[in-house]
Amino acid sequence: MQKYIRWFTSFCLLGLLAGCWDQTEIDQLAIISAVGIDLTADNKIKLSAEIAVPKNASAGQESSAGGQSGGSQKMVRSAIGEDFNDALNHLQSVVPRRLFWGQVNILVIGDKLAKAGMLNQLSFFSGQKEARLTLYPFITKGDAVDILVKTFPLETDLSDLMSNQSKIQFKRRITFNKMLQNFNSVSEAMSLPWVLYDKKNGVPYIGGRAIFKNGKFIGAANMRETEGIAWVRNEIKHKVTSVKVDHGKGAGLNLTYSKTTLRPKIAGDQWEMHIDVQGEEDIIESSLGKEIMEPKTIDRIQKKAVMQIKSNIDEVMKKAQNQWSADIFGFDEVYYRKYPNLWETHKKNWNTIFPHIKVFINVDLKVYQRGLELTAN
Amino acid sequence: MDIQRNVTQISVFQIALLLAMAMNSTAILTAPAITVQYAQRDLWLSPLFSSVSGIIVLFLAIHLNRRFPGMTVIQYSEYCIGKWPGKIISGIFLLVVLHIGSIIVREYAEFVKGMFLDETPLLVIICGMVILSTYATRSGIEVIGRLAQLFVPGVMLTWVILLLLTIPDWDVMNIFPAFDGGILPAIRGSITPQGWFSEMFLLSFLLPHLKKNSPIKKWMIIMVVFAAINLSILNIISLFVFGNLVPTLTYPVMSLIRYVNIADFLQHIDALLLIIWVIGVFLKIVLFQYCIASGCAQWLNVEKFRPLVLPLGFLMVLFSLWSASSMQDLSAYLKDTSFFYAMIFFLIYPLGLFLIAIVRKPKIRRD
Repeated sequence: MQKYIRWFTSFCLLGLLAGCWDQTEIDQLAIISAVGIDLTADNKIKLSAEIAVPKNASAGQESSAGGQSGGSQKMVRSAIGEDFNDALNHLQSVVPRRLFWGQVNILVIGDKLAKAGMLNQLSFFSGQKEARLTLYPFITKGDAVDILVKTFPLETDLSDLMSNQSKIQFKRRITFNKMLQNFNSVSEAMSLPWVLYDKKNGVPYIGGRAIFKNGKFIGAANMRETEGIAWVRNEIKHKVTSVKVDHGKGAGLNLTYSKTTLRPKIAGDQWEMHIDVQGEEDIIESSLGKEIMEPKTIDRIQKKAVMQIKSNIDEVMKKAQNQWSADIFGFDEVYYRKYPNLWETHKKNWNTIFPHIKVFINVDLKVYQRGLELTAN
Repeated sequence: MDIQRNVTQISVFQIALLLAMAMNSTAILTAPAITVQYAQRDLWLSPLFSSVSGIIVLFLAIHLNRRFPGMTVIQYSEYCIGKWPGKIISGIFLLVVLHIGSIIVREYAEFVKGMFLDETPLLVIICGMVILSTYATRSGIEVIGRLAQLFVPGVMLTWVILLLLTIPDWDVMNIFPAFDGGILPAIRGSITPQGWFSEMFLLSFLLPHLKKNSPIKKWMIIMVVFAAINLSILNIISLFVFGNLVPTLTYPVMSLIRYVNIADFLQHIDALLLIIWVIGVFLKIVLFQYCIASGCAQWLNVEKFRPLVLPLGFLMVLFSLWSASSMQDLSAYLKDTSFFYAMIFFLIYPLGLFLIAIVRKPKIRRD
């Protein structure tokens, strides 16, 4: 008898092997790879999603054999609502499949929303269980949806394109987590990647940094200023610069190592910040002929390069202190670490202290000539 | 009452694994979020202070066991404070263990529902776990010990790998300024975890099954230190990665593992965390259920604990549903009440028994 009961129970359990009762197969999901959020003219939230369209494997083989081109591999849907959640509901109603947020990589925010304050529309991405804090946030000039709908020759979707771009430009990834931490700080100031659209080549690109103060977008820094910001924040990515020594002749330098140390100092009422930049550059090309062989020339190149970096930092520092008066360099944390007790009493006045900080820039750069061909030209 | 003769035995290593898992499995979920409320940037120091109560309760359990060989807290309480008072307090003690065990089941269910199975009814998740743990508990202490020996090494290896994967996102400067407000915030942050560490008093139920002449003290100290350091490392990594965001996260460890992204390739590995966490919490629930069932058998002077496991498992399901009305309720309990609750029954009560045993030197009738 017991044997039969066992058999019977086992058979009943077989039914459970079919899987979950509320399963969602991958072909029932709309996998979102990038999200754009805008503020419309009548103060509503426009939510746009870039949804990956999985390419049929066999179709792909055909096209590589000379068949028809792949065509669009993504689609973009938008919805407007009173706030983010309302727009989200409307978005779900225009997409026939369940929206899946687990693969969202890119968040593009239009500058209008950024100006009005975007943080309270973004709690979805920190609280929802599918969304991840690894998201890359971007601010764009104009509407985010305009960038989302574009198609690009190399990458399949915007998500790939932008994450590749940010990998090229930034030393450390600027994620949603980093963004929230910065907005959580005393100054509520930070800089996020600023995306522009290149009409001629039809690609969006990172054209600087969007400057935030008190959680709101106040202006954009151009590429040169962005470089200055990166120098101060120790985020400079190794890159090529050119130095003119005399009469239009000069050398091309490749940065191979860099490190920036911030040394805060409070002397009486005067707050000081010493920015120590260390770096090493290789000469990769020169139009100086035989001169390049002389140690004196190397010295001159070195001095010139140091001056360039100094003026670069100096410019952006002046602009940050006077025009934006936004602590985008994270000085608040630096002071807090060095002077925790003083900081407690001064942190509420931070926005008035910051513009008056005296900044000292000290650049220690070494230039090496390591090329194979010593006397170019 | 005669001392129960135990034929089943487990090794000291198995006990250490079991208790370490029981200690860490629930703590890793919420420890950073709870300690950071008071300790701020010094949250990594708190678990080291918390381990003090762990060491005290282990000391109490071991010494009471030396004085009353082969007996558990349910049995020797009668010798210390008299038969009927002992019975009454032991009854309450068992209820408390049952309640805390049920809250662990609820914590497990809330986490799984909140993170993964959001449409599944809570009851189904709870029953799934309790049926499994009932089956394991019925198999006896030897099986439980071997389960620990089987699972824990794999769990630990995975855990270490998961934590190592977060290295690229560390911002080490987040730890400074250390001891901004002195050492006091770190001590205040250690208070809630003190309660969790005191749960290790359940060792009292395992000691009668320990093989003779095992180096129990040495292993228990290793285990407590290990558990404290593990929590400390988790806290410090949460701080490195999330900085001032840690207080806003419900499950920092979950956010941490989700944040892993190595070369845009190794990412979305949170299922691994769920696997090891479910194993850990399963061992913890089994330990609690075993303590309840065997304790209940001793309390009622029943020879075998096995028939009691299923009914008590049923009670556990009910208690876990009753114990909190919502996630907020549950975390309020974990943050504030649980400390006093656990401290009274796992530290103060055994301490009282220990003092009475020293002063009165109760006689044990041997068979």
